[in-house]
Amino acid sequence: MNTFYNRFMRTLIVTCGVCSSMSAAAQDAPPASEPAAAQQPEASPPASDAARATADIDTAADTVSDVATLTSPSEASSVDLAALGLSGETGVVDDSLQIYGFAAFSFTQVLSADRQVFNQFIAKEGTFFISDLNIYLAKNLSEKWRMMVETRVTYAPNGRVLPDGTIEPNQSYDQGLLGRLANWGGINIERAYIEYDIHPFITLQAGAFLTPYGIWNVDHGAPAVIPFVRPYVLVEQLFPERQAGFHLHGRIPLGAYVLGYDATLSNGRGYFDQFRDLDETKAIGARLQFETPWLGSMRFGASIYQGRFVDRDSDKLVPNPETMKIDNVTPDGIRYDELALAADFLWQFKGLHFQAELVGRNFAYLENARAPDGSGFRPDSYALGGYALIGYRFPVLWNVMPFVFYQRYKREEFSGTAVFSALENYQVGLNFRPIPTVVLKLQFGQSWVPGGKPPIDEDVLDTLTAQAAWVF
Amino acid sequence: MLVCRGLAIVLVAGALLTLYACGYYDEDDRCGENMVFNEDAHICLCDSKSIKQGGGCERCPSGREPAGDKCVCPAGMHEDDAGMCEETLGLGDTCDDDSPCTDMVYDYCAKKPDASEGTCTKRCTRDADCDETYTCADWEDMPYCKLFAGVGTSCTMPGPDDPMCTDDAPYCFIGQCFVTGCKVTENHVTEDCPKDRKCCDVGTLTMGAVTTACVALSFAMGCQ
Amino acid sequence: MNRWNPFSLGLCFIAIAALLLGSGAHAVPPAGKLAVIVAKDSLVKNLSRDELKRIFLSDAVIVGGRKLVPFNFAPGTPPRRGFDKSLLGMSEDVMQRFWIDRKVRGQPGAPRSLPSSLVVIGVTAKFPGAIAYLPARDLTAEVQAVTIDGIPHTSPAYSITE
Repeated sequence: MNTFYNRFMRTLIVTCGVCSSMSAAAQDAPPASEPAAAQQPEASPPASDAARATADIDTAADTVSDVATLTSPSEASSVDLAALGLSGETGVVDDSLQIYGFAAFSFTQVLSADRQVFNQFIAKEGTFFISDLNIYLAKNLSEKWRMMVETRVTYAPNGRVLPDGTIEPNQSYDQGLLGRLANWGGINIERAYIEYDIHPFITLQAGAFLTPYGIWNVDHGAPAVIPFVRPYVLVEQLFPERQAGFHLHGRIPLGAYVLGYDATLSNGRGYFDQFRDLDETKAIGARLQFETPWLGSMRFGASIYQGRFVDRDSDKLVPNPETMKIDNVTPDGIRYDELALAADFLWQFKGLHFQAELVGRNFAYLENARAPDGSGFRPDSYALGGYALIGYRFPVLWNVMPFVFYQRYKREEFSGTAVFSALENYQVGLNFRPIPTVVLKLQFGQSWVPGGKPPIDEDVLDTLTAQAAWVF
Repeated sequence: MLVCRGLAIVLVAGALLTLYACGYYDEDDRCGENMVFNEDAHICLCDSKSIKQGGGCERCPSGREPAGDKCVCPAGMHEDDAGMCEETLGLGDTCDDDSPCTDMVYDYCAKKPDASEGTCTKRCTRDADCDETYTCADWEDMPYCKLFAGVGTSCTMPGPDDPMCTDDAPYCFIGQCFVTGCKVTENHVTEDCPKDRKCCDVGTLTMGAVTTACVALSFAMGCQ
Repeated sequence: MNRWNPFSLGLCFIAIAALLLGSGAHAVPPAGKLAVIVAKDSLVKNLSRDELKRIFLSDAVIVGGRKLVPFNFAPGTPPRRGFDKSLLGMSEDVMQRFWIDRKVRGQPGAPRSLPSSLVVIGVTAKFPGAIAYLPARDLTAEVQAVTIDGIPHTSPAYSITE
């Protein structure tokens, strides 16, 4: 027994040593090269006009083949900035029009029973679908002026569910297809703005912009979001997802720390807020963000938004018996004042990634401008929700990140909350990045309504989702 | 030092914002004027003296009471030429086989099935023939102006046992008394409901406790 | 009952530890220094490590009234890999993911890449506000090296390496 034990231990030690040496030797070998396109994501202006349009491919090495053959120091002085697409006069490094974007292809499958009431609100059948297709246009107009446009191509309004439960196809006769019926969708303008650097720490943006709050509102692309979809509390838009107006922002360095700030002034929230403000009030917002080098990097943020929501009919002409004139009268419609607050925390330490957000909104209707709800009206209310996600990115298995995610959301009060007042959900999954421009996700999630009342009761919704998202 | 300053800014800003946030929503005053908050329905309802007008509730003038979306003279009264409420002689008087209705207009004694006495009303062919708070019961063999007493009255005990609900509107649901047991007909050809209501299938909403109910028109979207 | 041999156990523990840590530690030849350079007439003489990091993460840093414009080496080259690792603390893969995510956010992208030391020198000498880096052995008189936190690239304490 003793002899066996010693022989076993010696074998184990030798094996450990051999494995250690092999591992060390493997690390000295150069990494396998990846396709050039995937390995070079930085924007750079290639020489040809066609290549200039593709900003995510760094082809500087290709475009400067002439100058790359320089062999002597004196030849360095003959480097032609113009040949490199650089302008010594304007100071602009890259003034080409950059076109890039991201897309995602997803699959969802509900694993829980068909009879569950949850299935009223989601596609319960296993479904493949394109979930995102966003296209960006960006250009440095000069050293201090920049522009960006982001559009989202969507299948909506095709497939919308009407109040009577009908799923409506949006179809039209397409003359290009010899008059056959074709489904059609739409384009959303996610962002469209111009910005100017007033000062290194002060940039003024004008146009339509994503509301600067939290982590995953501005960071809204499928490749940047770790789970399959953004948390419920963000999708519910307690802060408006985007606004039209002015956005002042900047980052102030404080040694190893950075204080970032945002201030916004906009039309506020409404169904047409991107192109029509239905009242005279404007919405204001602000954010402070503090970045530290603590334990890798920790970032703290706090955001606020205050504005008024208005939904009304158009103005009417009404005779005024006192003045005997026709007056323009603005109907009250539905109006409420709202205040939203958010706090966020992001911690990255080597491969560890932890983030959490807490978002709340409360609102109060103006007198005689309350939203109807059944036989009565919606009350003043508040909504509150938050999530936490933890994951670890390993440098193996396609840079896999196993993650765990938990969220809870309390809805604002209205007749629907008699049945569904809050949602709780957790997800476990894997996020892979085989190459920097591709993200693969696989996750399992469970959702339930805390304190569920009939007909939802204690039903638990189980889902399996997979997604391939890519940046181009 | 700089770190502390930066962190302090964020913390102080966060604290101020939190304090400011408390001022918008008042749990004790969630509804507008002339409204009460119903805990079961999670909505604001007009109080017993007010009607729904636009985005709020308007108090009925003294001497009037709510009926649907209008302020009307109480049951048994009608509006005279001067716009005042005066008693409608004969309407609503108790009657039976021994004491028939004597008024020339309200000469019909409407009795519930198996009841020995009823109330005086008049015959009709359509709702317009009836007084404000009455509905023409054209589903009956002998149509007459019927009063659904207690419809829409505020109640607090979901189900059939709330004391505020009446025999005509016995079921308390989402804070109001409802008429139940009506007949859903195809395309709503006939409605045995008050004139501002529709008969709808509410079995799923009430978990089978009640299968049909007369639902306000504004609430009846999607009602089959 | 057999007792565990502590010596063997200790050896095995060390070997196992070496196996696990071996994935991170490997024999690395002595790395050359990367000098951070600016134009000969630039007012920039010294930068803090934090400032340098911010510049190459595309944040605005102003010196002498002029915004500094960073230029990188091409991805995959030893100077680039070394710079990203020793200053920014990110491997090549992580760096690429970092810039991809910034693009999706709509934030400024990575500094422009240049293919060789000669081109780096040429651009740095001519482009207003240019700041770049190159292997110290490739330095010429057309540009000047700056100190980082007061430490010149010739000092053993200098930590930006290939």
